[in-house]
Amino acid sequence: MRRFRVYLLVLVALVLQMTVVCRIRISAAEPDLVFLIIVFVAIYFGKARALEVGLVAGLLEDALTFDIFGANIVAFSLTAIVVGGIHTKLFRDLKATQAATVFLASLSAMMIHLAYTSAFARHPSLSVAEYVTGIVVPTACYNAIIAVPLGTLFARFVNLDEPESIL
Amino acid sequence: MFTPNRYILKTAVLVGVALACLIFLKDRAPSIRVAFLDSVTPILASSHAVIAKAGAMLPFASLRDENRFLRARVDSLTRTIREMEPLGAENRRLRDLLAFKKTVPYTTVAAQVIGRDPSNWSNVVIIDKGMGQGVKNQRAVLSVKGLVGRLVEVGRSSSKILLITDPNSRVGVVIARNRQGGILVGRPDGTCKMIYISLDSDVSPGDWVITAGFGTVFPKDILVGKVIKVDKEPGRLYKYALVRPMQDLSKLEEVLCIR
Repeated sequence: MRRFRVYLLVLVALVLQMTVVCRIRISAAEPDLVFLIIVFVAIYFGKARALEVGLVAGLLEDALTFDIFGANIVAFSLTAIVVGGIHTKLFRDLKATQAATVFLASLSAMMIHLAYTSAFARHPSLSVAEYVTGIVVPTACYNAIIAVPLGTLFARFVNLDEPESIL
Repeated sequence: MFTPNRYILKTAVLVGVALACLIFLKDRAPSIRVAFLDSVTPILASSHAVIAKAGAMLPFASLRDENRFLRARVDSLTRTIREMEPLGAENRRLRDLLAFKKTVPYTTVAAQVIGRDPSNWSNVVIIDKGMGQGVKNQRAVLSVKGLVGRLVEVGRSSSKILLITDPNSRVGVVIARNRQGGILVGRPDGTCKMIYISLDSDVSPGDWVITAGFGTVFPKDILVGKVIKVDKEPGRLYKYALVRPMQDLSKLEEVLCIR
């Protein structure tokens, strides 16, 4: 049941990402709801579950985006493994910790994405500095801000009190 | 709880599936993406309709609609006037050269934006028209104000447009005043950068930028934007100009696809 809820959240987040989230865009930055769900799964349930959700969500995003295929699969799954690997060491119910984790995870995921696309792109038109200042840092900040209310909603929706073995 | 063996097995299977996806789907990605896009179009269209209905229930919705219609009309007429200016100059130039060449008029298909790329990295929008309505791949897309982008993936009933603000977008453009050429590339902040402008060229803020008409995608003399800053590219032998597109492409609602 919890697994169903998590994937339902991923699908809802993906639809919202494509229809509504662009309306709250500030310059080049908009929160990545799908990525936030992956980070929350990693924080609360560890790397195995986060890797699974990261792969599925990455595949869905890669199927819908115009980016180089595989960039989101690689970025999401690697970040899920890293965040999931340290989830027992985090004060995961503390909002500040969640926001800081989301900020650092966003930075690392986008740098992985940038490295992957730079490796395969034929003619990158912008410098790494322009990408980092224009997209990476503003998006990571936006994700960290949105993570505070979204973390509470996520915890309520997936019902953390359910037995853990269900997911 | 996962036992270590089961965990390793599961991870190996997942990584294997991911690698298989990367290897086998990489070359087939465009066709798979088009099919996937077609299948999710009803969800996107209905979500867009729900959001539009919710917006219509807000106070002063009819006044806002009327205001938007009138603004669109003003923008359309302004664009026509701006596009006439280079046409007049071109006419004079070509008459002088006694080699007049008629510009082929183009027909368009109107479409509504129903979604956007879920990734932060791409400035791509999804429209509700596809090859079933006469939309063709690698054709220019306009709004009432000017150039928007080009079609990059066309499905049966939906298509993707790569906006001119996407870092992967490249458009051959010229300055309307003196036909100084350059290449327009997108920037993440919603503006564009005109590169490869020669150092001795006369380009200044306030100049209008139009399409050059090189290649087969973008017709000639379509209004693209306005120069807001000109500077020398550090360490290069050319200048660049920052160009603001004719409208905020993050709030794009309706477009015209050239057939």
